[in-house]
Amino acid sequence: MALLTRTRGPLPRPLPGALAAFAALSGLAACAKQAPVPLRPEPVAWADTLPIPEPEYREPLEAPLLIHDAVSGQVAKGVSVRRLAGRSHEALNVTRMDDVVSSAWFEHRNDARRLTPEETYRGPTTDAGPDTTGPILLTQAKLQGISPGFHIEDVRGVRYVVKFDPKGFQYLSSAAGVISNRLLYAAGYHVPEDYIFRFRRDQITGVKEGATYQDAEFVEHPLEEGLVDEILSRVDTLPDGRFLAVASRYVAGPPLGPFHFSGTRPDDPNDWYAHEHRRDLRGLYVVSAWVNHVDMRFANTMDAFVDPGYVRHYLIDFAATLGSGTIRPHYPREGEEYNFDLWPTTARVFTLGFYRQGWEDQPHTVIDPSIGWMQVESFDPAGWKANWPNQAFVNMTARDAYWGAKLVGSFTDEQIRAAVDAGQLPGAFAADTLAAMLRYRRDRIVEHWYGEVSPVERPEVIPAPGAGPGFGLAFEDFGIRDGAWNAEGTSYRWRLRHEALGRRWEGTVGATEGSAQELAIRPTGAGAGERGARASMPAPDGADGTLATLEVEITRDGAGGRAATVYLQWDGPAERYRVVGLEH
Amino acid sequence: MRRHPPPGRAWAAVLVATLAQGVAPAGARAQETDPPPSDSRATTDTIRSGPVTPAEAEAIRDTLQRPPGQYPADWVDVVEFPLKLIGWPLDLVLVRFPAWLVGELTAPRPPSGIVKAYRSASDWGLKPMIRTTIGPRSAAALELQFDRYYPFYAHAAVSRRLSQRYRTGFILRRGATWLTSEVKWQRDAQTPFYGIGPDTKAEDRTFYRRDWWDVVARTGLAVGPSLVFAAGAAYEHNDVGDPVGSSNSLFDGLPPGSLFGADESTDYVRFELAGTLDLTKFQGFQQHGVALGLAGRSFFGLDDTDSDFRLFTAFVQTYLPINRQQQLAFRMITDVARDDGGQGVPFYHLSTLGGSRSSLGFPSSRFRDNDMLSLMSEYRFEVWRELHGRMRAETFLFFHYGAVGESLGEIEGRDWHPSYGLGLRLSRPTSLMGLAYLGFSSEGATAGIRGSWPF
Repeated sequence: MALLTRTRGPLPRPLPGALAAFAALSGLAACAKQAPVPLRPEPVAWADTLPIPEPEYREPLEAPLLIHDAVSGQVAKGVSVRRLAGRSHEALNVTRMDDVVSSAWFEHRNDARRLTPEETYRGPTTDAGPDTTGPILLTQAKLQGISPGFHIEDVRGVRYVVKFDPKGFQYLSSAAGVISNRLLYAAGYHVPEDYIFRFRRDQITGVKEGATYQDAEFVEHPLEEGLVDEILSRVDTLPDGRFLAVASRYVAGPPLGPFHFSGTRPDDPNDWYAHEHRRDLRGLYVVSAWVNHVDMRFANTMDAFVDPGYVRHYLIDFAATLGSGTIRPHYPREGEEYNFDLWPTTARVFTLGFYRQGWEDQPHTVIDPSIGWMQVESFDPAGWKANWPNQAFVNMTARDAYWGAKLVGSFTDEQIRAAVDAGQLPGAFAADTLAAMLRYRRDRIVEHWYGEVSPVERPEVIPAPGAGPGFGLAFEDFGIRDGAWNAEGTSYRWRLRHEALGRRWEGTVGATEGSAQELAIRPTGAGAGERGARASMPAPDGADGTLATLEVEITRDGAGGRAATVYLQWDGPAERYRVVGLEH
Repeated sequence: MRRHPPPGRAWAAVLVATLAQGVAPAGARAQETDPPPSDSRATTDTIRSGPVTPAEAEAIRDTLQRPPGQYPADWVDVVEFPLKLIGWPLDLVLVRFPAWLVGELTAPRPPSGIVKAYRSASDWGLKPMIRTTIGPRSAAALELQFDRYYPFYAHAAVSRRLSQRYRTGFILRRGATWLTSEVKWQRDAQTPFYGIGPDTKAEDRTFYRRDWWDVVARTGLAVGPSLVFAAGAAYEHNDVGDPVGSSNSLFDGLPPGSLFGADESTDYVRFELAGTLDLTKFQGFQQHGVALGLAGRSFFGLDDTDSDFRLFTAFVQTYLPINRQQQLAFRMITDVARDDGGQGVPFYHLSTLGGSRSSLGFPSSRFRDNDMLSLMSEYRFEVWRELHGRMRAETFLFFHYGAVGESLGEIEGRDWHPSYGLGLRLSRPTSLMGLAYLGFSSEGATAGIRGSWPF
């Protein structure tokens, strides 16, 4: 039973009164909890890319969802018994090595094989963007909303959504959009091909037949070319007279509407895991915090029906990332408070307005209009908030956050600079500054979330170093690898438990230089004598296949995060362990 | 294919699951035996790609061994169940319904249904509106505004308490001047009357109905952006009688002749003069500065109306920002009625204290006499601001201190009536959208909602 209770705390005392009976019965239900890591079924890679009948386009109204998440969601979170009792649900789509599989939601990219700077620069793009060598036709225009734009079709028949920077802030949203597009792509998420697009007015040669636009009442009207001039009149020009925009290529396959951060899509049989329990969506919080994607919400996602006939889930529209608030630089409040943040609002009411958040006294100096404003020194990786809460982000646990932080930590300085270069900012100062901001935020994220756990990765059983009983565990300390801490002052406290063999060993060893570490797992203390002798003996029959746990806690100056648990299976005939699971 | 119930149905499943001792999907159960653990890296190629039909995919999907897509109910859900049972109706009424309404009103689609009808009617020149008040104790009213033939207009309003207001006229503007003429008929269906003087009792409340109409012509002149003068002349006719919708009539047991205006209709010629100096300005939602105003009306009785009198109103308002989020606001308002001969001031034209104009903690027209003075103070603090700065919410604490008396000079300390309370204001950068308040006084509590307020 020890293994069965490993991942959950002890059961609570029975509740008094009328609930006692329910509690007693449900205590039995609670025993049917998750199996230990090595025994759990694993998510199947690409299982959600099996062909399905094409779903219908759907786009529920966003406002009710946002308001409900903002109000009821925050109240529910505040009074959540589950959260208060420390019984928050971990993500469901997790492998035995505490990772996710590639799917229609996420693909292992930079964390699996570090992209080159050139690959990072290119991101998801497959060519140079809209082909301006031939006629470009308007297919749709957008006049309402906070940022105008239009849709175009180039001479190859490829369609793009074109959006512009706010007046006075050229490059602000276009560069931010492309840079974040590259970073999110490299991190592993599905994003469209976004390009910095420079064009002359005369390159927009006409209107495609049947093109329409929506007026302020969202009534459709035939599109006339004159509307292009109306839109372009609200936009700054480049010194050479061209216009600057971000062109986002239509994704392959018909769009099916946005996805929500909770529940599943009823008409997609592949959509198995409830979104609020998906590791890749929960961990997206950390990546969003890194690029300051305050507008991460339902409306900036998109499901598309792609070949060979499944739904792929995209993140789109990154204009409100980094220092850009789409139509202006970000305010200090963005990233610190929700648009409607129930608890700070309540605090202000009860303190008669004297409750102040740190951002309220934050100086707000835009040092360059092309990069806007973003928190740097005051950036709090765990306190960051998008403008609207969502259930996946609310459900994020330390393990999910660590997973997301690994994505962020996988980026080198060169990769960050390559992504920034993709934004084609107008000057080296802006690019240098933005890259420095991203590096700083990356380091804070890595430092914080790696410190919440013990970032033991790629564990492998090796022969015990030197002579004597026991075995060795080789692993990589991602904290050292990604610069969260140094080997100096870092120790590894380990504890082996194998009930079938009566092994209860423990020890502490200091880190060696570099991220590759090895632990000598030997009988120690009371077990060094008798049990140590037993450890060198062949294991008794029946112990073959039994499981053991090896907890490794990374400590720095005596303090550390939650221990990582390496699950080992005993191979009796070979008289050795092998790694069968990992949990942070 | 086995699908897991959506989260919303988890509650119904709690009891079933509990009684059935945990009906969890098989994948979530502790396994009795130890299957050989697979290497997750080897599972990447287990799914066939290529020419797989949706039907074949369905069959493949059913064979997949993978974690459950949703958590089964556990003891925490059981504990939370009663909380959710309590919260569900509150959520429905306070969150889901308003959220749905907001969604429908802001939906990015062509208007339909009621919204379309409203917009079509407004575009045509007929606009329905909700008013929080159209007269003393009128309650909310529905008003139809017809201005298709601007500058001519016609408005008709009926309130929940069956107060009514109908008016038609025109407004002409030219530069800094304007001219308006209007005919209005109004019914104040249930105006409260507690007696006259500072010591009236709440339990003495009765109601009366006042039907009145006037024909008025006004002109105005704006001298710069801050100073406005207006003058006008009108004919006014008044009738009073039993209230509508209440049996508690002022006239039950009222001795004839004891209250001027109660037994007879009145007709007056009325002259008006007013001036307002508004030195306030908005800076990021906050109003700064001072505004003051003075207005006078002279009534001359006609025909059988043996009554001449004058009414004066003066107010001063000032706003003192503490910082971007906090502000103090002060207002002093006084109404004075002076009898110029005859039977004096009809009771319905006497000055009153109570209601949103002078004292939020008391009901409308609670105290009545010749003169009224009210000192109103508020502490306002921002509790929420919309991200793009289009709207903000403030909580305000108020303390109002008012008195009535035969004359201002005769008001004594014991005549003052304090009221206090709190409320919520919703505003745009330069205008108030509405406010709700809860007020307290020695006589109990009042609450209300207002769509506009000059203070």
